[in-house]
Amino acid sequence: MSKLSAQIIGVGQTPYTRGTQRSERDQILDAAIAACYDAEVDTQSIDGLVMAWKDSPSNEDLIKTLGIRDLRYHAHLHIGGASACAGIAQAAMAVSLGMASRVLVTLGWNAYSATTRLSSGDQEDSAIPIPGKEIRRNIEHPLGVYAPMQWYSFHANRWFYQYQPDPAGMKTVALTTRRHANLNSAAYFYDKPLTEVDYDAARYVVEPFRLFDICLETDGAAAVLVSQGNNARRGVQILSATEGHADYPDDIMGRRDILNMGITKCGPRALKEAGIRHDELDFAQIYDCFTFIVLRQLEELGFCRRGEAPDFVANGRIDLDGDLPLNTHGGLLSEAHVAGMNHIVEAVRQLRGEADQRQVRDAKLGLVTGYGDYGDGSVVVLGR
Amino acid sequence: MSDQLDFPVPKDPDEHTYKGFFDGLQKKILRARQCCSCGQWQWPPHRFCSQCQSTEFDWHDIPHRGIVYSYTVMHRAFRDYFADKLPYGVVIVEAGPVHISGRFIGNPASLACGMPVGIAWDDLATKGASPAWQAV
Repeated sequence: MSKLSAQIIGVGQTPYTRGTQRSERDQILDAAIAACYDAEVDTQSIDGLVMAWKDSPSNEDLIKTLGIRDLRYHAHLHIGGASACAGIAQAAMAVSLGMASRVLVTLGWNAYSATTRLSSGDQEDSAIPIPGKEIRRNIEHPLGVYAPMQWYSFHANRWFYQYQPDPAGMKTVALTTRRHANLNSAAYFYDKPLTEVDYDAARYVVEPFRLFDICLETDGAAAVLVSQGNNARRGVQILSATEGHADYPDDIMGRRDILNMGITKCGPRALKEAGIRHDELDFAQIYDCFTFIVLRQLEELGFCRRGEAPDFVANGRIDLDGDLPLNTHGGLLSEAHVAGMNHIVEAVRQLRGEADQRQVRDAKLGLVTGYGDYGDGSVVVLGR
Repeated sequence: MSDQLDFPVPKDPDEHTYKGFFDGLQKKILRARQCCSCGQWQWPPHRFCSQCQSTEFDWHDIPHRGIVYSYTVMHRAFRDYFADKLPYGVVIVEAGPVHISGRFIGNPASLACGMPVGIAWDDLATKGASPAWQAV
């Protein structure tokens, strides 16, 4: 069982847009301030910082912005979209051990307004922190392979071959999570419905991914404030937090077992450490850079066997009133790409009963995943 | 290799962990690294052996035939060079002890995992830019 004694006491976010006048650094600072206000704590009392994925703002920027009097702990994490949940783990560990008492975890990304977009072929001199640059520059770029949607298509095509999953599962994820976004006024696609006809008519970008299998690129940031204990009025308890890495951590194309990933290792561990069964969960916020990877994570987490996730998500199971409401905010596919920090923010809102029209009835227990770079994984289980 | 060429080339093919591979392509030989100390194969290259941490490697030939482990088909060009070549296939080939990638020469609609392929010595391969595979 997990020895953590930690809770999330505040969440904050910026508007999620395409186009912004705010720098990525300032967006992250805005979200950090918002999380402190949400928690109703003095910004100067923050004594721990975890910068997930992005290194700017630095600890110095945050000390100056928040007026922090005594920073006792800070950490940087670089595992792409797995950094958000892994950052919660760092914060939870720090407060549980008494290294710090109030730790902010920040993440933001001007993905849309960045000079280089991660969906583009301009990765050679990109500032986006991606591991294994030698492999990218020597092996992948000469093949025309530059973007995450290409790396993961190899995984998807092998999965379809080896386990014959129903391709309709990807559509279920896209349509369901868009409906959730249509109930979330903060979502970039709040007022844009997506129909089955739209989905089917969309072009293939990289097989097997059609346009709506691929996440958004937006500008925005989010932050979460973690403190010790489990007694805050609006606090959400961190029941477990785990991290896992794939065997060829910086390369998908050379990986002997392409279906093995970080979540394969840290997914089951998270449930075990939280001391819960799958069917006790009231919702799941699953990292959704692509529709298919949501399905794959459900399998590796143990909700069903490999190849069966499309059947698992069918018949309304992941709807708001289903057995396992999934990505209730719309996710990266339809809310915004805040590299999964928005998934944690949404989980907290659901558990506090503050999710308005998209509230899952009587939500007490939720699971959040992170998925980054070449298959890094992270999971947090939250409860109230 | 110059960046002025109009086709995509490796950034640093002369770096010692990669040189044997790209030199081999120009001689129509497909090679990967094997640890001198414990015999573990290594591809793509890394300075240390993950099994025994040795830094001594030899280049050894790998089979010129294999089976497609997985593949992608791009319908969008991420670089101008590919714009008039879409849809474009890229494969991962299980070739003896390693999984090795390459461009797919042929109709991408015919691609499937498990399909037998052989190395194709096209212009880009023998110029040392990247390997290519075709159905056999």
